[in-house]
Amino acid sequence: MIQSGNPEKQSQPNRTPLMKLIRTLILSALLTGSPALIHAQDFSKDYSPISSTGFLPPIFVKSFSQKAIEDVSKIKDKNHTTLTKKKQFAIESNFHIDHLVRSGSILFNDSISAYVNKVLDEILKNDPELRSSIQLFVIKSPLVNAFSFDNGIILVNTGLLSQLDDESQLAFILCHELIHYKRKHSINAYLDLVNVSNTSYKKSRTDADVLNYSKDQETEADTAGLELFKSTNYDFDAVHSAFDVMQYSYLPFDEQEFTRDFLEDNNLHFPKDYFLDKTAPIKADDNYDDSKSSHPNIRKRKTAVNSRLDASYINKGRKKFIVSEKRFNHAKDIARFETCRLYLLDLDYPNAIYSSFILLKKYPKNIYLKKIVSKSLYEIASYKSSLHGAESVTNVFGSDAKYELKSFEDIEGFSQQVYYLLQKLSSEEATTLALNYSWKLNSSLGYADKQEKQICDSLFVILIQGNEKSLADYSRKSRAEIVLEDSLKKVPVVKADIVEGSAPDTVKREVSKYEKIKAQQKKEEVVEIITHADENFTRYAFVDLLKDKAFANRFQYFLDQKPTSSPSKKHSYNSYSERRKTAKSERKFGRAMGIDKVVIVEPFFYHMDLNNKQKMDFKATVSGLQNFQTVIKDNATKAKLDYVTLDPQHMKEDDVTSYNDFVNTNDWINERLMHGYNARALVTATDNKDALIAKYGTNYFMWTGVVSVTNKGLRGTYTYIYVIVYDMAKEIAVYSETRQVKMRDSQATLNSQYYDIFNQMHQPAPKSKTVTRASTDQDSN
Amino acid sequence: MNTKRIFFTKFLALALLVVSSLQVSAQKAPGYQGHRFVLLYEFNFHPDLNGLSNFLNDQSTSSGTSGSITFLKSHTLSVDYVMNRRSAIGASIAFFSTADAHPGTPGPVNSTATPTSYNYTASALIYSLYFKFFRQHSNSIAPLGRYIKPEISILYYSGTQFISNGQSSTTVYSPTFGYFTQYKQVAATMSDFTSGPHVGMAYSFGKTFIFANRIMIDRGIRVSMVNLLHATTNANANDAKTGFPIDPAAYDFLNNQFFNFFIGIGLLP
Repeated sequence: MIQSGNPEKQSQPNRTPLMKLIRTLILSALLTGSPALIHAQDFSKDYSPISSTGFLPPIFVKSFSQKAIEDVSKIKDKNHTTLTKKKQFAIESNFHIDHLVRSGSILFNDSISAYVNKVLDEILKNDPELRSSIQLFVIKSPLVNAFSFDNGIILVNTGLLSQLDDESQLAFILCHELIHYKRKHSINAYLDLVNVSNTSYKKSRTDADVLNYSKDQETEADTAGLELFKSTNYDFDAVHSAFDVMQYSYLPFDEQEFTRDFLEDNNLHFPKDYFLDKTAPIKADDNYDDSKSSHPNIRKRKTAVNSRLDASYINKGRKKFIVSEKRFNHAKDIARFETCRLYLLDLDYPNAIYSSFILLKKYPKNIYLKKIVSKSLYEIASYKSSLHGAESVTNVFGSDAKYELKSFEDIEGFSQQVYYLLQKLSSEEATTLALNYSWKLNSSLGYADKQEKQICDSLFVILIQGNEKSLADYSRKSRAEIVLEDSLKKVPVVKADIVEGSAPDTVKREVSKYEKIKAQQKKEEVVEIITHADENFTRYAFVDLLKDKAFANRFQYFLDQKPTSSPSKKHSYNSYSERRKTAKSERKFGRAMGIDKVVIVEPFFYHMDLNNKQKMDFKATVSGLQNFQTVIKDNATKAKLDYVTLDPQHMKEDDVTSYNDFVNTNDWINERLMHGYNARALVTATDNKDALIAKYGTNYFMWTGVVSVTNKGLRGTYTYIYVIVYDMAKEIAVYSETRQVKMRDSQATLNSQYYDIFNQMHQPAPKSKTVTRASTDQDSN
Repeated sequence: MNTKRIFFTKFLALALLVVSSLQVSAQKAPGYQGHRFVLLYEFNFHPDLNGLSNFLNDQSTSSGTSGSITFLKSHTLSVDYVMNRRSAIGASIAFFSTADAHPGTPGPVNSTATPTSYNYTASALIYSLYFKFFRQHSNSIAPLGRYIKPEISILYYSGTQFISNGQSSTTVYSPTFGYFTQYKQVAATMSDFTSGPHVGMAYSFGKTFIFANRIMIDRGIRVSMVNLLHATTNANANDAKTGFPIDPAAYDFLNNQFFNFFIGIGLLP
């Protein structure tokens, strides 16, 4: 299919001329308006997470089977076996693309994608045919990577964009990926792996051979990519520096010393040993052992490229920026903000804090970054607290994954300090630090930010109930004030003479030499104590905050709320008697949750056949997914449960708003799921949460899907059904269940289960049914 | 007396089982898509234990069925009512027939002369009431999936028994409870008999599948036990001492009822 060279236009399906005109006008406005987008966000104050605009591209609108059929129909090969394998490859690669699309991570028609596509236009300005076969997208991921598929889809991670120095580096990496596409590396690697034509050859293949084949492809992509790069007007320096980007890609996007003052204030000082004297040096050897890697090591890659570059190394007139330096910097900033956000979503709190710290150097008043730091500190405090870990309502994927900070010893560079500090903090210290930071942010926002308020409230609860702290544990006077007072009390004469200067009539003696020495020693002691906090540094953490009446009142409020019994009992999900009562009620009436409307987010369906080499049965998965949509529709209707589905695969091309809603909801649910057992930890991905609730008219968001597993070893087929329903307003799971059904994933089986699930969700609670869940902290406000 | 006590103990155990199962499984939420009725036809096949016995004892008679393992068959029509997501109640009527003349165990009845072989043909109507409990641990939801089914039945049977004198066979028809049963006659002496009602208990394990939202396939195994005491006053047999020995056909017949496999097709209206 020949498409326009314009990437935005590629994403438009055929329509009537009038619609085409309208669309062109809108897109023109988008394109010409893209510089305006640059100024749309003022990073010095805040940041709004990037979202897609315009129309959904074909890969979003077309179903997996449509895409697979199209690709399969293009495949030609005289060898029947190879043809079959190629078709299989087309199906598999489309399945993975589809999976990526459904993840909600891919951006389109946004300012970064528009910019990256412009760079690709520049590279391929002399090859419109190749340009028209490429669809380039940016994918939200903190990893430094870019990859291409055989059907012309190239993906560039925001993590990569956040680490680049200039446009020419991006151009070189795109050239590399273009060669992967042009030379059909993916499918060739696949065929090499299965090696269909020569069985004896296949037998002789080892893992090392397969990896070597992959390395050869990478070298080819580098060298041929360089030839393509030479045809552009980009600076040759990018070739070397792009390899530097790859070499140091495991480090954060910048290296700056993490300083104490970032988290300290006048009264909160970390003990000396909470900071490393020196962080671990960056080792990053470019000649590492690549025998088990799919890529040659960086030194080999550099050498291969250099041999071709030296002969034609004339850099004169070549540029680091051709499209726009301003747009590059803007895209890079957005990518860095996104990286901070993604670290937070991935529960990578040390990196979130460190990356925000770096960006805050550039944008010191940016609220969004401060919120990320606040949320990260909160989550660390929450995970360190036994109070939150004590309860669980989530029992699906990942629920048993206990959060553990990566050991600081494994980290190189300045970010090691953040890992070290967070590791060193006790539960009480982490909570105090988080509350100190969050309350100051809350206060600077005029106490108007709902989530910061929730975070502070939750921290009060952790501090008071989890760490048994009260107001008496926190000093209202600073160390300096206390020490000065002490010294003045102990040396009244000195006070009279030294402080006041003139001696009253009643005191008329000279200050002795020894008294002067002692007074001087006291002063030095005060300075020493102020400069180097002792181990009990948390005692003085709230000196300034306690002067704020709102803080003191809120502290007192939660002290009053503190239960008299043991906190773990009070805050555990259900006591034994409550659990019995719930079980009895459920036996009699079902769950009877009385939900009228629910938003079902990306229902999924997978059919696995463990007896086949290829574990995933793609055909059964696709047909099952279609069937599953019908099952949801029929049974929700039958159970009289109103529902909306947020599923990119069933969106129309102009459903970009729904797509963005899906992305936001997906982020929220993913993070909630990742917290697992820490079910009371607040979710941080709350951008647009309230808007979503208002828009869809329900608090209830459901995540559900089916995994069907056939295994002769297990004597038959098992169908697993996963259901979690969240009350997004309260941030709790109201219903969580994994059903193992020893039956085939037939429509009847699914109908039976889903009618039961929906029916129980919709059934109004019986009058006698009592509230079974303990109210959450935020409920009490 | 002793037999009566055993019977009532068993009956009481069954009743307790039903009540306790209801308590465990009851949920007011309805079952499969709210469907309440299931019409079901079941085909049952019974391993012929007499045949097996003869086979094991290496006996051979002139009837042709002895000395080999065969299956007898019966048919059941039933209606289930799905009460909730874990249980259903139902009623059924089953028709059982030995069809061809069946070798029996010679007994004192009609033994006016020493027979060369003893045969009978019999048919029965079995009326049952039952509960179906769908198994929670395999996440079955009524009426789909794995279930257990305790049932109580009332059984009437009728038939013809005869003693062979070795003459060639002819085919005759004999009415029994409105049905006509075909059997081979190789006997010189024959007599019709009727018996019932007998009270029985059965316990089934089954699994159902549903196709096209309407069609159900049911399959499983049933174990049953029929009390040989007559529930009504029958002049010939009203207690264990007299009923059992004088009715060897009943003994054989009920023996064949002991366990059976079934496969059925149902409709969800």
